[in-house]
Amino acid sequence: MQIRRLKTGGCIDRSKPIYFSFNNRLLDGYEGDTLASALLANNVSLVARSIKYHRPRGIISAGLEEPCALVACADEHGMMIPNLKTTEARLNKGLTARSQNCWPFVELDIGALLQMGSALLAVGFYYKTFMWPKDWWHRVYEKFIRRAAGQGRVTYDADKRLYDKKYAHCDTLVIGSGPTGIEAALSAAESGVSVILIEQDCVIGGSVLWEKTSTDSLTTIKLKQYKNLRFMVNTLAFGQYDHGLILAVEQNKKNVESIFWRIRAKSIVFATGATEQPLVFPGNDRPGIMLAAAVRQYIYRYAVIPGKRAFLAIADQQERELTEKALQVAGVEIVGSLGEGDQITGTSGWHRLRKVHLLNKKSISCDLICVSNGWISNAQLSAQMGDKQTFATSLEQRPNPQQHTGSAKAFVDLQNDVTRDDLALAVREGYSHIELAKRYTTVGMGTDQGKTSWPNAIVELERLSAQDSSRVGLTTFRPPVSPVSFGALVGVETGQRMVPIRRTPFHNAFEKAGCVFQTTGDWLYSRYFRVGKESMNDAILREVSAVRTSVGCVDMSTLGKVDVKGRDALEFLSRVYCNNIDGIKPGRLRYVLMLREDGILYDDGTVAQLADNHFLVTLTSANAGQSWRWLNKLLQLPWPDLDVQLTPVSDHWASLAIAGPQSRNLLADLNPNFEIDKTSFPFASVKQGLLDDDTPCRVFTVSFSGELSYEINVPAGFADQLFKRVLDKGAAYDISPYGLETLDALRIEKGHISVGTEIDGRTTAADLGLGKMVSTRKAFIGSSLLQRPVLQQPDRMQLVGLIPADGSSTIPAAAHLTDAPWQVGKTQTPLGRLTATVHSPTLGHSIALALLERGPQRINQKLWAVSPVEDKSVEVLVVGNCFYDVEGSRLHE
Amino acid sequence: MSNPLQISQQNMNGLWSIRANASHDLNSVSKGLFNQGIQFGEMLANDKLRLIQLWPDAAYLFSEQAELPPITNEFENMITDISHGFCTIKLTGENALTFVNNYCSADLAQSDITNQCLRTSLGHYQILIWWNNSDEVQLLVDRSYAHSLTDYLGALAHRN
Amino acid sequence: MLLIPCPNCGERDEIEFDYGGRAIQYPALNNSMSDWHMVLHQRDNSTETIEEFWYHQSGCECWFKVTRNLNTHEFES
Repeated sequence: MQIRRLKTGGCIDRSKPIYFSFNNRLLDGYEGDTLASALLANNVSLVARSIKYHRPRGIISAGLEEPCALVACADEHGMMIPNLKTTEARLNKGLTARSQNCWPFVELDIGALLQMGSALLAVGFYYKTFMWPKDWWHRVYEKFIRRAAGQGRVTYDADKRLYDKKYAHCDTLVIGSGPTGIEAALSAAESGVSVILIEQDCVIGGSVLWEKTSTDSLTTIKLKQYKNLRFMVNTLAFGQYDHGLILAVEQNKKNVESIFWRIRAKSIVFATGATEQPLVFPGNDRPGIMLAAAVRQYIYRYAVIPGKRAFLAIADQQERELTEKALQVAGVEIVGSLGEGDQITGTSGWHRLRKVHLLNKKSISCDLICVSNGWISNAQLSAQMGDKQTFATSLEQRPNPQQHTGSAKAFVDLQNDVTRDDLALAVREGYSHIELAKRYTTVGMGTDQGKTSWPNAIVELERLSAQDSSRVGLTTFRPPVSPVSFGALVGVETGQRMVPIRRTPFHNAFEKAGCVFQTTGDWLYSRYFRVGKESMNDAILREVSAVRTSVGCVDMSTLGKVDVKGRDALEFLSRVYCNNIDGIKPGRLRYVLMLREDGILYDDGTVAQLADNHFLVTLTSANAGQSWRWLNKLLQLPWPDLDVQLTPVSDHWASLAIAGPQSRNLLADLNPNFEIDKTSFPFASVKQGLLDDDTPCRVFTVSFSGELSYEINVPAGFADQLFKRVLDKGAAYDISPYGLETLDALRIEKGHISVGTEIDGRTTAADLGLGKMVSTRKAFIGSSLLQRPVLQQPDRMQLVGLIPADGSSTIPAAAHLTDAPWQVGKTQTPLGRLTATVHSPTLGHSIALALLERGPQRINQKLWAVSPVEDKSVEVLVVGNCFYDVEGSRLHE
Repeated sequence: MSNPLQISQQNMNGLWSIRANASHDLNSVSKGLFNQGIQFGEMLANDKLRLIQLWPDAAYLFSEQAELPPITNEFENMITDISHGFCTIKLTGENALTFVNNYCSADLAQSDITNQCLRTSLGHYQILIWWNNSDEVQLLVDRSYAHSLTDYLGALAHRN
Repeated sequence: MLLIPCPNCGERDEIEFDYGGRAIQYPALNNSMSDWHMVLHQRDNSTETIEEFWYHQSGCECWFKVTRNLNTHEFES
């Protein structure tokens, strides 16, 4: 029953009643109500319990500054949203709201017993307690504190709502649609620039809504006149960032829960208005004590009477007169007003205000106190970019406002239950600067960010420490201005959409062939191929065996590929790579290493010469993007005089490597129009032509697996066709397509290095046994600093192989190498660490690659591979870093 | 909605990267194809070819045919076939341009963009955009990202 | 997010760019270790401005140098 609703007036639509539930009570309101106005209309004044003392709290404001009346709401999806301000939640059909932080009911909360121990719960009590006995922290205190702390409860259900994220650009952005904002927006629009006007409330109007009974519809018509003006309501600007960037969240949309706006403006008008401040007096937190302008807004905008007997505690005359007029219009009895020299010494009432007590021993019965201690402009957005507010007058200059004292608690921060006594304690302990007092007492640190507490806190600290506000300081404002949900910030990028995923040209064909994929870096890449119901391990055994004994095929499309042309192409590549490549000829390729400027190994790849002044460079998949940037940088910054043209062709070429003793036979079956015998097409060459007279191709003789191998590149559109033909012709050799697991196993068996494992930003080419690849007769990127002593030291960690000493144990992954087994509590200095391990299908036991101090000199020594994480120690034998076909004869068969 | 947003993905027919070198600049190639020079940010098009220059020293040449036009043979060293490396995603419908503008980091309505083409980011995807009118916008994206981007655009369209 | 002034494309959102670190000028490849060390590792650590490189990845793919005020983040031309 809306017993506190006026019969006429307000911006609500009485033809559209809305039913909702609050603490399981069925109530009703109208469209246009907030949850707060509907609750007040139903004469519900007790809404919540305070965070620390569990004191009964009601609604004190009509806006974003609400510190107390926070509830948990379930929306129509049944999703629980905690800590929602009743003054912000629009009334919707089926809204279910519940008080938080109370048990069993908001009317009878067992937490209120905490008040009895309030002397022990003074601010900072947790810095001085819960420390003894020491192990009780984990066993007792922490569990209890975690349950008792906080206000709302988070739901663990997945959020199924849709969120959106958009960009907007404009010349002028106006934030706030009160009279100032409207005027600014209209005059900007009139001048012809592009304007965006945003308003956090659901209607245009701002402060106009507190003083009039309806919004000015003429204003909306005026705004709609301009094609270059766009206005959005329900849009909260929550942060200001560099170079005119405002982040905002728009809610109450039809298709989506919210739109997160990134608005870039050439100029911004902050017409964000001001927030009225409450009065600090003993017992100033009871339900029924409300901000004066909020009372007016409830009367005029929502046609709701927040009380029947009102007492006024308003300093400013104009504010008092406006409030008196509103109360009279609403038929509320004004039972008294705070005069000059009057002091409030306390209040009475538990679930609701009943009386106010004044200094002259007078007690006045009332159910509403309209308070106002002045206004503070909402300058948080400016402050976020460093424009700090200051008090215009110093402590001595200001008229000394009446301080209200008494025995009861006088609250400075209504959300975090911080009292004047708490601030006094902070000052006594030396924390008189606001930044210190804030953290010590938590004043202003609630979800309301102290909108109705930080100014009073500074004034109280000034008085308590007898210092000016310039010494007390100002708090720092950080985004968001009001809480914003995570969903809003994430937008559409949930699940698989969080990062862009790349697919190779073989993806669809592989899927049909039973491929199991995994994400690796940017890519969705083949992990292994499942035949029938085999397990992954069985698949890997099958695939490795195929490659080592017959033939397999693997996707190499993820490698970065760069087409290099130009008169200075060879000179450029000579400077970029540390190998001697000046002897390269058309039709040949080199395995090459790229160093960083400081001599550390950065990437490995190949350079193939296709024709005069025409090369194709390959880059490791993981580094492809970074290397492309690097090559561009070199040509643009230090060497702009080189005549070189780079074109990225990574996605243009699909690349399938066929590897194994039968690979040449298979290649022949694919019908290339060029010679492929050992002499015409040796290892480390490239040939271009056609397969079956219809498929353009480039074939490279490179091998990551260590077997005879041909990397067949075709333009990506031919990928499906190529794979199909390879499988068809390969059936004769029992071909197995393979993926990352097998690729890795094969390369570890051969001791081939890889980025991220052996190339880890700390190793040099020599550390990995590739010192001979580094030229000694030319200068290149890194050649100078490569000579620095620390990179030349003989006791550096160098690449070796490891096998289990007993021939069968599994070497733990990521293990460290020590000279004794792992023991808890014992300190050991590792001699090295593993870079890769695998159970070798070819050799039948575990193998590992490792970086070991003086590695090559320790061959045949026994060491321990220890893993504290797995609590395992395995004795290993140090061997060379190649476990299979050490001479590399299989490449030249 | 009278003309809802349609999203379609296509492979390319002919697409080449043309890079200026010490002997020839992009104007030489452009004059050969369109009888006029080209500058940064410009798009030239006739019924067979489209040339877009969005790098100081490089431009992309689009063609309905998979073969290079004959006139460019003398500039062979400047040209690289990249037709298989990209896909086009076409967005048609009322406000297609507004839709794309909402999700790009660049401002498509900016007067600086005299020719209706630019390279920018949409979500975390790098794309090249061009359009002739606000009801049809073409995005050029790396082939490997095309599937993800089409899905991403679909999710965005779902929210509008 | 900064608004970065690309010399070719105009002002664009930072998301389109890759940061290139402080602007340094390489010595010749065969210069001494000391020369390379000074350029790569010694910084003057100004508190006022920094000269730095940006790479317009989702744009013209150019590397360019700007001067940025370290206190206000304004780009000085």
